[in-house]
Amino acid sequence: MLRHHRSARALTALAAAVTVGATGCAGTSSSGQPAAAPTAVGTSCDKYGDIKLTVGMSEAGETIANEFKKQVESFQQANPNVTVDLQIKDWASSANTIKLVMSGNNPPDVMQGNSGWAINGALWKAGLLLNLDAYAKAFGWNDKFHESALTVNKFTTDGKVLGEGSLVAVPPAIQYVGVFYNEAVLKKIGIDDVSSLDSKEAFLGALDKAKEAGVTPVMLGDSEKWPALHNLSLLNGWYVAPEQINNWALNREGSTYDDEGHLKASTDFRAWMQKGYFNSDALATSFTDATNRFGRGEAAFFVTGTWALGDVRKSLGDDAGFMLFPAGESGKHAAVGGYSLPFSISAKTKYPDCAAAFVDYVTASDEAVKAQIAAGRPSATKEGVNAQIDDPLLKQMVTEYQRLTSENGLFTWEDWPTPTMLTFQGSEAQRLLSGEITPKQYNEAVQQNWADYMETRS
Amino acid sequence: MPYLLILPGFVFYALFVLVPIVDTVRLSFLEWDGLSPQVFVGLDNYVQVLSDPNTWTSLRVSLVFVLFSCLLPVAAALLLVGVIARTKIRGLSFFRFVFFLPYTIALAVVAIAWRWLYAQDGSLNAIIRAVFGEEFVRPFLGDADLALPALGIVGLWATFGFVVVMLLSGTQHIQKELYEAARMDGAGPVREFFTVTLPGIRHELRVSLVMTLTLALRVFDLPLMATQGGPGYATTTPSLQMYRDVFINGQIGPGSAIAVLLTIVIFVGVALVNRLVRSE
Repeated sequence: MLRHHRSARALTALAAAVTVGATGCAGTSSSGQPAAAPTAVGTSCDKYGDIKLTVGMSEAGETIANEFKKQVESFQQANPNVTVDLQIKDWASSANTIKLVMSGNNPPDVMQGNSGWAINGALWKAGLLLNLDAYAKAFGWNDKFHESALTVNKFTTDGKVLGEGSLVAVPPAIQYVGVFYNEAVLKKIGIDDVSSLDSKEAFLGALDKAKEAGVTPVMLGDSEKWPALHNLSLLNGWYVAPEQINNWALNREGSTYDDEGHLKASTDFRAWMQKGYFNSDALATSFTDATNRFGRGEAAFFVTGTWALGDVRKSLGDDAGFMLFPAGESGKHAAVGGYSLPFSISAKTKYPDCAAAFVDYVTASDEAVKAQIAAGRPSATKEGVNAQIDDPLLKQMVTEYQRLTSENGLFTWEDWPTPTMLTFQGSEAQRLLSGEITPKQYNEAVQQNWADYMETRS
Repeated sequence: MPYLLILPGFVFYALFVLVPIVDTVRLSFLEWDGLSPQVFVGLDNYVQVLSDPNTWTSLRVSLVFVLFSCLLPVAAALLLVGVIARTKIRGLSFFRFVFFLPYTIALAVVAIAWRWLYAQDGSLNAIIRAVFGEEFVRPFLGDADLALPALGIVGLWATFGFVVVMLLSGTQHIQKELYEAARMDGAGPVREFFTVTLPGIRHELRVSLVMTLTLALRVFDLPLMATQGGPGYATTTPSLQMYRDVFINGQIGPGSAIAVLLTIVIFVGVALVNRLVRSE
């Protein structure tokens, strides 16, 4: 019987080994210092000979990815000595692997990360991203882009402040959250004039009408734990001033999430779920499924980012419409947004000039302006909103964007302030929607996460 | 000399099993985001993990998984095997094949298939809609109360066949004469099960319990693919929590501490099983 005893012990050890071994591959430590800025830089790939440039791309939506592939093609044609190895991942899986990928020995030369502390902040602090200041000068990015497009992608050299210091990433496009609607469905529930919905009361009235007609008012797919947050952000915009939200997202001392305005928003958010304004299986539906279901006419509205525009247009055709989230109590429109996931260059790249030329090509060139329009959004450059646009849905979106910025209503993504905020809010928001925690508890928890991080920074 | 022979194998074992284990223990004492310099913080990570209510929630989730993918399948399989062992069934190898099939499918694939089954417009809800009506339709994986039992049932489905086949193989070497002898002594089916079948399959029972217990305690791919641990934390297992800390949140220290603690829990669990189901 001794034999069996031993085998049991071996089993125990094996089981343990499998568990503990799981984290043993978490990468290696790096210098821990932001990389020094290159000084003498060029703007072309010519000097490198035949090379392979590896590019990671991770934006939501099929249309955007397809247009990006075309940009890569034409970049290769313009630079015959360069072969681009393009790796496309969806946003969720990219976010899970990007730090491992960038800290590995063979990171992509160009990578689409994310502004804020969770990804670009962490990579910058660890010295894994190239300082782009010299390239900004060489390519004239400071003139080509709106100041805000670059500001949100700057970090100080000590890695402590976001929004000032050195440029670490360049965004390809404008992106903000608004309301897609299905005109055919709205007609069916008795709404002929969509422009009449541009107030909080009218909009809520439309949601009620949809519900009475047995149509899902707002399609939500939050199984990946991020899309719901954008809906909540818009509700925050009803009750909290954009500057206040920005202050909080940019870690300004004295800001808080735990106040009356945010409480009203969280309370509304929970109520929307309870009242059936969202589809009842919102927490089990993926973002892609939600996009498809809205595209099949299963809901009146789809509140999400402009990144869904291409996919929505493709499935709904002329029935697709886009509008700003209606104005709240202040009478002014407000929406969360800014710029799409920005491109960075690995500090380990052997071809920095070529990588920069690629980033310039896909974000700032004339071709980029056109390509972004084809992808369903204006580029982040000043030229972006002036570009020739034939698509009516996109025109609507750009017009609405100009209205939004003229009212100074744009505020930044609320997952920026701490490295864990996105996953934290993602789970807590689901608990709020499920009724496991109260709106007040949600706000307190989020503020606690913020305050804890502020403490570690000081 | 014999040790020399195991050397090549041992080198691999050390490199890919022992080194990562030791390294994980080391990481659990550090404050590290995976990128910046490492700072030694002693037991801080353990204090943080143990005082985090989410840790205890995830342990509770694990225990539910133990119920569904260890205790229930073993109990059900014992019942089934108890019946099968005393009779002769034609085509037994076919049934063995069918029972075992789910276990051969990667849990990630299983998770995606069941996601469809559980969807609002999936097959399960179609049946419910047809039989009970619209108001009983539920988004199983999106419901904070139902998601965990729903995933538990997937675990049951995935492990049951394995346990059945394990236990059945145990019955193969029970001598049929023992059943005859028991019957002659006037034993009924229940008595027969406890005096003949159960002692005969002890080793297999123990191995089944150990395998399914460890699987249940460290289950990761199923909740990751089916629910991402949601809604909220309703299906977040310790492994998923560890993964999130290490790979997404850049909290390598606390994540590693969870790994170490989970290993201890598994050790204790397995030791307990070994004590309860002794070979003698």
